Amino acid sequence: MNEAKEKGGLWKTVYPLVVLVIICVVVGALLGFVNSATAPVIEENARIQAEQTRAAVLPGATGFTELDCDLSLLNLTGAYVEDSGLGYVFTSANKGYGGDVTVTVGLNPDGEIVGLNANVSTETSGIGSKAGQSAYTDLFIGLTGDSSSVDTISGASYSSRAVKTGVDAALAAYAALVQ
Amino acid sequence: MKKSKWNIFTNGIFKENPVLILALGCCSVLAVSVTVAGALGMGVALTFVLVCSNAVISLLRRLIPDQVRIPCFIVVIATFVTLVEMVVEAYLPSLYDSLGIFLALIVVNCIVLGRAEMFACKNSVGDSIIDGLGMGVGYIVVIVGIAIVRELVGSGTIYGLRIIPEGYQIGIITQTPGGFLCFGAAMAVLVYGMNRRGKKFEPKMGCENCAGCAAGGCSAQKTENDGKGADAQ
Repeated sequence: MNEAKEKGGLWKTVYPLVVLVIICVVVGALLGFVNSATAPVIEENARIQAEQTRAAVLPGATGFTELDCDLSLLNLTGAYVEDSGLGYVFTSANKGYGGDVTVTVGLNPDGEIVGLNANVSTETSGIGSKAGQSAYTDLFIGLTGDSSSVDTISGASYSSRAVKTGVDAALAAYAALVQ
Repeated sequence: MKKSKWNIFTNGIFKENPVLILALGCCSVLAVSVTVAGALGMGVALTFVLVCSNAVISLLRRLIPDQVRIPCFIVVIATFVTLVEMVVEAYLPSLYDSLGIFLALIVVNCIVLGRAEMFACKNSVGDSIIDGLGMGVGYIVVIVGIAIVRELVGSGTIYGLRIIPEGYQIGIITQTPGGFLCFGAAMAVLVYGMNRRGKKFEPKMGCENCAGCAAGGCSAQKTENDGKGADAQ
């Protein structure tokens, strides 16, 4: 009888673990299946989104080719040259208030900014999001060298500083790669 | 007191509204009720997770032993939230951007875990699904209602359509203090409405049965009612 009691005791301890493991395995399989179906869609969306943003900052662009360079050294996430000689596009992810602000800068062959896009979805709407609006990003158009002539937005320092850092990274990359 | 199916459903909208009466899931309401579009998306996502997790947990209620019930609940809930996240990110990227981290936070949304603990683990699958739907609808009504007010007064738009011209907004309504103001007002409106019905209305807080559950666990509360009807509370 002692044996039976012991066996019952052991099973009683192991049973909860067994149930938990089974649930985790089933769940893991289900999630793996759905992930394999959605991950390609997500990747494709991101790729299309990035392409559209690049085309938006360099109007009239026909296509882009990636530049061969050390992205991490230049603090960039992407460096492209436009196929028909319209210029260059540099993207970077800069620490804002709520997360990373992706800044996409379009430069003409002379190193002047012709287009700017800042993704401020991680920033506080109504405050930090002002750094992504055209009223602010238009101030950078025509800039060369660095962004020191544009002030940060008071009350939205982190977000606007992220945009400025992105602009600086792009202009510095132009100086390093093209000139 | 045996509750009919309809009673279980309306319970989640009025008498035990998860947000305004049980005071669960408040931070998601405060954070996402800034725009109607975001509120609607959040409400539907939460309702989906709530119904699915209620159903699965109710299905497994006799198999999950008491010692690991909370980890099991959380695994189940997290699964559905991750599924919703993946699908929303793939097919509704703008909604994904606007919900941000609050989509993932549905895992620890007190409504989902609370209903699993207070209802699903003690009742039949059918009743649990109806309870999930009722609670979900109650949540949607509150978050969208508050969002309509906050978006209209704070940004002058509803679902993106401009109604009040720019420059005539009360900006604070879209910030946190405004959220609390609207939340309190919504609570007052519901309690006032419930009192007006004539019957005395005594709001029950959500965690009333928590001590009982934790002490004896679900199995202790699972008495003769199990599967025969919702008489949990």
